[in-house]
Amino acid sequence: MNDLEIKIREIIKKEVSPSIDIDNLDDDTTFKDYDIDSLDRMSIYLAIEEEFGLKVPEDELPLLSSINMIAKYILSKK
Amino acid sequence: MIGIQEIATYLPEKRLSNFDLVKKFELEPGFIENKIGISSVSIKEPNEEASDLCVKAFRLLEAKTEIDKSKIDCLIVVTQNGDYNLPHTSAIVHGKLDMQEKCACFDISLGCSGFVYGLSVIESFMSSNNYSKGLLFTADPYSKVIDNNDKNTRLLFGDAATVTLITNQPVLTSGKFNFGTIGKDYENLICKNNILQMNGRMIFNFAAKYVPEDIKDLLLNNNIELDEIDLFVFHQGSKFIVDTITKRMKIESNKVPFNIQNFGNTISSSIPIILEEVIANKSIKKIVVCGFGVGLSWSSTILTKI
Repeated sequence: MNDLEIKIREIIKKEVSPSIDIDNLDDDTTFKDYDIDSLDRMSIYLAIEEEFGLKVPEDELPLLSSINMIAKYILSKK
Repeated sequence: MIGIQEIATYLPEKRLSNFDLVKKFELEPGFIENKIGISSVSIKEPNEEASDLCVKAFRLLEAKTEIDKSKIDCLIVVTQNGDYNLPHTSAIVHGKLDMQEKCACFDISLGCSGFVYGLSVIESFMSSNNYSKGLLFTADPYSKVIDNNDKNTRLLFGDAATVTLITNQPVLTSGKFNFGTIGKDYENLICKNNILQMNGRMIFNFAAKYVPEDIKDLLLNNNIELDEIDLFVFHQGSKFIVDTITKRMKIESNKVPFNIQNFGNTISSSIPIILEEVIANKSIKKIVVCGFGVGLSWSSTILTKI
């Protein structure tokens, strides 16, 4: 796991409901499949935008569906 | 000194349950209770208009405090779902309540920021005209414009009306006000062809980013520290948004009321509904109030108990 993925995991952990075990979330599992609901996903998107100085358009949200996808998305915007 | 003397709230009796919509909207378990925090929304009768809700709120105010209608100098209604495009709803309320003719009436077209904006407007208007008694109504029956198949709005919004009696014998006085607008994002909460549309993510981002910053600025402008505030009354958009703002501001959650489980987000009425509950509580001296929403618009002030 690289530093970027670790950082993303930390952000997600802060944003989702405490009942969701983020430590065991696989990098490729989608948030939806891991029962992270739509509102917690909105929190994750906002925190990612703020941390990495991004503005993610609505039609690109599906590109932020898992930890790996977020990492790829951030790298593609650098 | 002009300020809030009393508040009354009218909530229609009829409710629509959100639990009946779990299957239709494919809601996750716990989503209603723990996330939006709204079990049911209040809904007016189909033949009731905003002015009728205002009249019912006024009758409840009369039951709480003696009001001489011949002494009311001004009457303002905050609404974006008034009875008609014209005339202004405040004139209709004036007529239904048989107020004196020398009473100034006008509407304020604002949504969730409307009560705090309205408070500043009515207090300034009364001071500059040397008035001593005024009524500030909020009534925005969104049930007129909600698509019952729209998950983004149907689960959230309820109907209500409030009336705030503003006089020169106040119980709560206002500090300095903050106002703001992000007009370029207006399309994120809009009523087109008589149907309400909301981009929930963009409204969430707006509230989560701007409200904490605004409150910091408000405290600075009023020369008050965060820990001197007894209560933070945020617009009751949903439990999720109130919790998010609380978390981002690192405020103790017991200082942040959330009370809309049984009637929903009542737009400009959500803040005065809470104020009515706490106005008599002597242990609460300083209250931050902050409304935010359609526009995108926000306003805030600090109320002090006399």
